[in-house]
Amino acid sequence: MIQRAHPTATRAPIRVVVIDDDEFEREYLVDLLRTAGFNVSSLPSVFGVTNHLVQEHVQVVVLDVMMPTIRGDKLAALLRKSAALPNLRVVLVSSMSEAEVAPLMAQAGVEAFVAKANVRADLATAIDNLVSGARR
Amino acid sequence: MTYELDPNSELPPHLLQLFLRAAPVQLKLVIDTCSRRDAASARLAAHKFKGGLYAAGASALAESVEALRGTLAKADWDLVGRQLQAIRDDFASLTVEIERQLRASQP
Repeated sequence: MIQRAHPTATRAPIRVVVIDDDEFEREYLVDLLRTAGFNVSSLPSVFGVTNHLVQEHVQVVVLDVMMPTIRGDKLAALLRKSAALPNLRVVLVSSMSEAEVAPLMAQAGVEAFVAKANVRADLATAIDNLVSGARR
Repeated sequence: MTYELDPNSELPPHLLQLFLRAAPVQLKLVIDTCSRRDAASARLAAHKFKGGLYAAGASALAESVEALRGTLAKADWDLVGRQLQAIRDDFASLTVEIERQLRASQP
């Protein structure tokens, strides 16, 4: 996991959306995060994503990198530039390696990446840390 | 033969069902692209297959798929064939284990 360090976390109100074209992986992430206490919605593609983020007051987007319509890092860069979403945080997930994802994160202005091999152990903490860092 | 899943990797029944529906299709795409010797498409298909294996708690098989991706990048088709056969065998064992879990989860 590549991430800035934020030691404390408050979980209850965090609203998360998972965007992944793969149904099994998407539902797996939703189940994992709901079990961890997050308020989770999901989208199978990027269509309608901005409206969803605004209407649902989403705080964190969990994005798969390899999606067919637009890569997750490219979508993250677009979302980061949106005036309607000034406080949105993004976590990229992928089965690519950290070395492969690091330059994509830098280009997109994304603060956190969790490898799919480590999602079960690290994703909830990564989200907590992102949001607690944003609140400071 | 029983496939040994990662510790603490238990999935709820609806996810077991989803995996059993989706993963064989993904593996078939890997096999088909390899049989056409389309290395780029096979690497992409293997990448997608690998992500689901991690979620299912089959990290060892996911690493085998990553090794296949490396072999595909070198276009070593003899080794691709051997690795793919091992992946198919392990996937068959994994499927048996997931089906066993699904049966055990039902009343």
